[in-house]
Amino acid sequence: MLTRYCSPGLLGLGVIALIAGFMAGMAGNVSAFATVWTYDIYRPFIRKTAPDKHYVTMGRWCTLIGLIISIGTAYIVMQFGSIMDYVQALFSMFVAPLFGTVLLGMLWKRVTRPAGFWGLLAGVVGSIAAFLLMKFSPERWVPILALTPRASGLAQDMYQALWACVICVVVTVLVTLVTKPDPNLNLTGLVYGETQIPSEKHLPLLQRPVFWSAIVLVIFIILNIIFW
Amino acid sequence: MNNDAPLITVWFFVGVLLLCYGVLIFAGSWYYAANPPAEPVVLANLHIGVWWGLLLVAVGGIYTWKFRPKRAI
Repeated sequence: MLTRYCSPGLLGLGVIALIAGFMAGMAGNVSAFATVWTYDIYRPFIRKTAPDKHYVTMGRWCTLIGLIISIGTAYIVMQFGSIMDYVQALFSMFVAPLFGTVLLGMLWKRVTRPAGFWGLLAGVVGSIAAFLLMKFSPERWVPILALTPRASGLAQDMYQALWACVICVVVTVLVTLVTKPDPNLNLTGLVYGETQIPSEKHLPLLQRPVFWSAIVLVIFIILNIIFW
Repeated sequence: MNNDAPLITVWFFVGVLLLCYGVLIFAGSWYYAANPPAEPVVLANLHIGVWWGLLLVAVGGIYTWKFRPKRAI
């Protein structure tokens, strides 16, 4: 769209904006990757006792190695029609099941830790399986998983995400029912049922979020009817 | 901290950047409008770059003037 509508000056500005957004996102992701690896995996499971200087060094090497791996994964994008297809495929594999886990964890206090883990794993595996099936045997699996044989790449990604979320939620619920919750776990402020929700009754109608939520819902329904 | 040092906020740099972008985009789009290529972009007759350049110059100028370095009180 940029090359279609923008003259050289605006095209440069648009590209700058894109690159700035990518850099900001990448900086955050690299930092998160180094932190998660060093403090959530390396320190608790691989080397528990080491001076802080060692963990700082590990974080720096992790950042460098992570960047090199990410450059390598950029070549995988060449297998897809566009970077949007690639990003949506990844999101459907990892973000969609995570949404199911987080949603259940926030709204249902009964959910257990093993249930969260196995539900998330099942969702990820299910999404990857759906992706591989639709990629290597599209004539057979696209009509089943995407509900129509004419589904485009992005539509297939959307249904991948849907199935991933559904599998995650189902597995999480089933595992929760056969596992016992931790009786010492303090969920105050973390789960809907254990949190005191501030009252909005003293606010005028126009300042209540539920009123504007209803407005947005009505507009959403109207637009869906118009553009169905 | 030296009280005589001028106070420079990040918005001053934002204004300078917008001003520079505006000048470059305006100049480039003006030249593009005066010397159109054989295959121009869609809706090139609207000269979007010229208007955006002027807008960026205006906003950048306002920010540069409003947030120019001042001496701390």
